[in-house]
Amino acid sequence: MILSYLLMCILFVLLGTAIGSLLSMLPGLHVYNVIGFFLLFYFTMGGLGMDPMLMVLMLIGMLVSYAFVFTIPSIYFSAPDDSTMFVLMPSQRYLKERKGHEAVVLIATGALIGVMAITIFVPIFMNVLGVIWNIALANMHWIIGAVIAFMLLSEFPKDFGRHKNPLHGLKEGWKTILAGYLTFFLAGLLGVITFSKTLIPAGHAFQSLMAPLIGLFATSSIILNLISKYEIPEQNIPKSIDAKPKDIVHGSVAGSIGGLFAAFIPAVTAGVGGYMSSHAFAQQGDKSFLVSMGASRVVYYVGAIALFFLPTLHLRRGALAMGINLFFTPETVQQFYLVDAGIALAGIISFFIVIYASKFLAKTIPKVNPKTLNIVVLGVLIVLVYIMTSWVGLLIMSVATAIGLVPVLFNSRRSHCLAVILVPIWLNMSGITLAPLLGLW
Amino acid sequence: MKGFAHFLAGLTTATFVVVIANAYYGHNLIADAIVQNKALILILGGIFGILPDTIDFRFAKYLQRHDYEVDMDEWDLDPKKVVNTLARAINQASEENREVNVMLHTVKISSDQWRQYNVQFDTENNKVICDIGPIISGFEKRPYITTYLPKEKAHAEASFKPKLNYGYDAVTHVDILSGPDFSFFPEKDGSVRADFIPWHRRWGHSITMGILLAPIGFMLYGFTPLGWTAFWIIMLGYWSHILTDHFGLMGSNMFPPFTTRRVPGFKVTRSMSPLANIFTNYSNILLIIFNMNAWSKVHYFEMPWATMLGLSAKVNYAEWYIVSLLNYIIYYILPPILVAYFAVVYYEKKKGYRELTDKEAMTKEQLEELGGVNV
Repeated sequence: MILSYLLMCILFVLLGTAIGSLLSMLPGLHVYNVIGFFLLFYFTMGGLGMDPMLMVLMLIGMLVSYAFVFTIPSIYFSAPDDSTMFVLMPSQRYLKERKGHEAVVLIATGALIGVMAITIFVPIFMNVLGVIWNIALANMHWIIGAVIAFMLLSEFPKDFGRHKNPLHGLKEGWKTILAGYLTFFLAGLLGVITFSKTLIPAGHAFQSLMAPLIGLFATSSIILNLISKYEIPEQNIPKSIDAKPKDIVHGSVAGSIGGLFAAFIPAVTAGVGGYMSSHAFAQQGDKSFLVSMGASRVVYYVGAIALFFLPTLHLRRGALAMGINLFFTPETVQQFYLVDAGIALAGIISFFIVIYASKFLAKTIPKVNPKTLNIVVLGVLIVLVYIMTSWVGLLIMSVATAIGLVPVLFNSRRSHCLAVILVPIWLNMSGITLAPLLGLW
Repeated sequence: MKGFAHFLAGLTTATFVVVIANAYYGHNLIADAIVQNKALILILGGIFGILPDTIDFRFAKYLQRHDYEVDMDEWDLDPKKVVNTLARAINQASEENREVNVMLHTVKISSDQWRQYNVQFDTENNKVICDIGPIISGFEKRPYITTYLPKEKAHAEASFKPKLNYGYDAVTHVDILSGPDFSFFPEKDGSVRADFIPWHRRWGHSITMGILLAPIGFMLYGFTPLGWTAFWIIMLGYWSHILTDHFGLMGSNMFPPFTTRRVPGFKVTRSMSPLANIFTNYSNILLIIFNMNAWSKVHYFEMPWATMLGLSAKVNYAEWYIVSLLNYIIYYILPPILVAYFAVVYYEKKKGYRELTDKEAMTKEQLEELGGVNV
């Protein structure tokens, strides 16, 4: 491999990292949507006459930077009001306690360790992963079913124990659980419809999940931000972060394993994988949890790409792997190591981008009106969904937004919204067909 | 154990049941039903593995009635109210020869701040002690150090008459979410027995309940080989929860209605100990992988001991399975656990950590159980 080619590879990784970092700052915008846009452009322009590997590396740079930089909007631009403090993620609590930057550093540290885990351990355990995949493949239907069962059974009542009588207690306790089940059911139904009968224009069919996902997770959060009464307090920027090595190790190992599980098993996402691993590792404390959040996200997104290029597997997980597979087929070990190096490079650069961007935002964010920012982002998302999926997509997004608001308003887990992916894939793998019953075929 | 460990233990148990049922019925009957006909029978193991906590925290908790409720607010903090109520309940249980239940509510100050207070039973001197603690923040329970009350306002003691048996000797911290409750039972010898969160680890955590639920397997699959397999998966999956919980301190009431009290645990570990959970989950995941490989038509890995002994899955399945499993445990399950265990022990010794006393361990376990065993 000649030096100029390597330099070009590095350049494209850096380009992808820069683009991904900039776009990931926008709350609610998912890198997969942007990548879909890039792919559309790439195909329309006939591949731009460039080496497909360079395009691959650019997209990987975008993905890695997203997995890091997404932390910024998720912490600084989504501070709900006090009434939801009880069910807040630790990252949001940290922001309220003027420690937003500390949360970012902890998450970014977890993410960096996650990248190291992928680049070092995935090649080492190449053969083991291949064997496990072969064994698990025939059993995937019950494995995904078990994940769903665990999600549904592991949410416990969040009441304060003050009840007039047992019936009143049951009603109070079950309010959040039933809201969670309703979310799961509706999101699952939306998923079955989306997977069975794509309503959006055929030319954009590969973006069929865009509108539901943006509705379930992004616009519902933005609406919550808009209706919440909140202010972002002045943030402290400490010179060092007070975290014990034990917290870092515990969090990063738990997060990395949760992320790898999610990258490995179809339909399972970083949130679900991270949640399961936090249980599996009996995680305690916010710091360990924040580190694991970073590791889990990175390993999920980036690990999926590493598994796609892994010579013993070539697993197609996640929209990027599927998108890349449209114009590129991984074949050689060299390609895997090139991708591995690209991931490491993008990861290190993204880490520093996150830290500096967080320092900058921690100083400036109290001066910005978060509502204005949220309105702008909502506008961007609506335009994007309209361009990519037409007015039908906007309609789907509205329905998904309504579903996404249910857990937010009833304090149940938002991960129930992931039924939009989990249910149709699980039904499909279990050989259960609901589409004809719903009149979709 | 955390909910995930129970769920996984139930799944692992289910895979063992499938291996045995497969060998019993022959022709790879059960495995084919799972792999080829996509039967979801294994999930029952996970569901019934986590079910005891689901029953307790989603239902039994709300069915518990209370004779007394201590409900203080920040402007009316009175430790005497706590100790007097508890002492009265203990005396009443003895005098009226009936069960008396007391609920201690948490003191919520704002959306993320709570006032902590501690309750302790001094069984030697027949005293209940209450100390009002600081205001704490959120799930991390960080205390605001300027919020401690002066000792004369924070501390109270009250005496009770009968001898108190509190086998689960712990300091009870009342802080976030829902508070704890206590039941006081009169005993035949005139003493009173105290039970912490009496609705937990009772009938929902019993061998009896596992037996009662097992016929659901027949309701799902009829009296077929799959039905019988489901029967055993449900029962053993349910029992796996009771067994794993029993390695902790609190224990469970095993055979209600024939028994009425919890049998103390083996005291091997705390239910929320990270190491115990990690080791259990690691072992379970590896065992599930082993069993999936064992019932697969193509074995993606073979263990060397079975090969050395000339054992084959097709000829002598049981011997092949047992030798391979033993080999697998010794090669892949035990070494990482032992290495991790000794590394942690070495680290803790180096850092000067000491082992928790029984009382401290129980206090910690109590907090963890209360903090939402699975939340």
